[in-house]
Amino acid sequence: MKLLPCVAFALMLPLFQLAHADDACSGFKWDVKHEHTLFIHEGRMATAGKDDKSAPMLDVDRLYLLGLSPQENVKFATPPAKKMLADGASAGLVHFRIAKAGQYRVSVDVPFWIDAVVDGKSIPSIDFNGAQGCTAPRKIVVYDLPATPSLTLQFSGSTEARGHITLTPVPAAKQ
Amino acid sequence: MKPRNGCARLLAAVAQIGVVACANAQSAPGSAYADFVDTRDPPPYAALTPAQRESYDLGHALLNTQWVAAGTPRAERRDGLGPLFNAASCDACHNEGARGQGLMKDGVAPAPLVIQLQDTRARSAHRVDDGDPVYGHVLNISALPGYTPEGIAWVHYAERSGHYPDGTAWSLRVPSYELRELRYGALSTGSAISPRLAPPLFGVGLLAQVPESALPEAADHPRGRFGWQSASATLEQQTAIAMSREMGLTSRTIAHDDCTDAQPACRSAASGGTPEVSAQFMSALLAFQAFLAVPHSNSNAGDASPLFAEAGCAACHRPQLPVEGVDGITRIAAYSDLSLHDLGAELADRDAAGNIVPSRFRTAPLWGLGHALRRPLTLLHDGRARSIEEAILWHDGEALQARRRFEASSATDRKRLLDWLGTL
Repeated sequence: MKLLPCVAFALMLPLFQLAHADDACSGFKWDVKHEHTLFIHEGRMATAGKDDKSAPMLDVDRLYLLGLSPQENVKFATPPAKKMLADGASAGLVHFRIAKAGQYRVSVDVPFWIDAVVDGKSIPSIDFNGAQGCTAPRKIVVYDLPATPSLTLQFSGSTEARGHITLTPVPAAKQ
Repeated sequence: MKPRNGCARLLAAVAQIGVVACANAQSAPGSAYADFVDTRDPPPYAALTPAQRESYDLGHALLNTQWVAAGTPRAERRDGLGPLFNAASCDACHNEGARGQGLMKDGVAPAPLVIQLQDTRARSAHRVDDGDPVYGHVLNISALPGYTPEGIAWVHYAERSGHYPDGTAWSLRVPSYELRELRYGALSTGSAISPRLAPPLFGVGLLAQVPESALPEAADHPRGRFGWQSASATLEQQTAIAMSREMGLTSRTIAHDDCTDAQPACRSAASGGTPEVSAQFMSALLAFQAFLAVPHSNSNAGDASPLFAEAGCAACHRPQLPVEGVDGITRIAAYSDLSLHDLGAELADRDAAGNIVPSRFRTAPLWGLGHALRRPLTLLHDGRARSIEEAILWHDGEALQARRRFEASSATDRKRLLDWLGTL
């Protein structure tokens, strides 16, 4: 006997609303408990640079609340790889020191476009994922990064003037 | 299933010729295919004039653009989102032109898996495009600040296992949908729930150039060719519907959002302009889609097109279609007949009471499948199939005999066929 798909309905209940955020954040295709844990704490304030020189050096594995600038005032290390209208958008640059080469996740809670730049070259992402209804984080992009004293992350096309970010190493067995 | 039952062998032979012809055409100048060196910069299939290139690039930028609320400072060209919507950009569902990504496990339906709503009573009265009387045509899962989303869909998957005649095991996942946090209470009992994963945009401009005369007669349904159920006759109509219903954006084609009489706040929300997507922007979005190529596959698996034809797949997934009005291209290998088919009760939609709603689906074009293999697959209209093999095993109704031939073939032939499909 074959099973048939069924459609069930539930009226709006407070319980569902309370449960939704946690449920939604379980919707990533990877285990993102570590990132989720970072995002539920208060982020350290930082102001993203308007150019490579003014970009602050941030720490891996720490949550930051980044302040951005109007995109027209930002000079990027390389042009953002994603073509889009940037009217009214916010942008900025930050640096990280990558001690060990490997896969890293950039996690954000607002719709940024992210470019990872090393030695003036944009590194394509190798995967990304989001989870509907989850803002802690909203989107995770994975990069295969070389060890470098200065990785530049460029954020552009943001609809918000600030947003939270983390850079975390991918757990070896969980990617 | 009429063609396959009656003259499957003849069709298979004809289709086989077509496959060979198209395989040659793929490497020839004037191909629909192109190498996607950088997926962030999807190429056109043709050499464009400077004016065409400018329009194509603008359309690509618009595909990626995040739309914002009406009145957002310094964003007059891209404001007007919502107030109810599913995604703020086209790219959120058609990432760089690719198919939307569905769920790999139980969870909240992501933006690319749209829950369409249709009034089945209106459909029986031949009004095929009426949505739910309260929620409209789409369950909007996001909203601007100050508004409440219409709800979310939680998708559960149950595994169902089985065996091929040779004893090889398979497993399919059966989806079920639970609508939660419904803003206006339960849906109308007459509403059909139609989960639809965002289809790829690759090659749609060429599908638009297939002449009417090449399509089967369609007296009993709209003569469309875009969308999972061929609801739209033109790319502009399909694009405008998506912008209106899934992004809350008005255009020269559709001058309203998907707000019903039961949603006064939605109806009276601030506008981002009349229309919100300018005619210039609409034209650029259409130019991008008109010229967007189909990505080459990296696979070099051997040709198994004869197996495809012998199974009867090619009767609907036609290996070639003629096109008109395209420089250098007279045929395309889309592997579709652009027609609607009954694929059985298991793939059909359900109404709010869980009853089966007879559903027919446009034969999904298979070109670009190899590109799709870069990511975990979520195939079919609702993303339930995790592999090409699973997608085939879900075929029923008019495709039942073809599926049975596939099941009855040897494990070696099945693998050859599946590997070859990954080259398309």
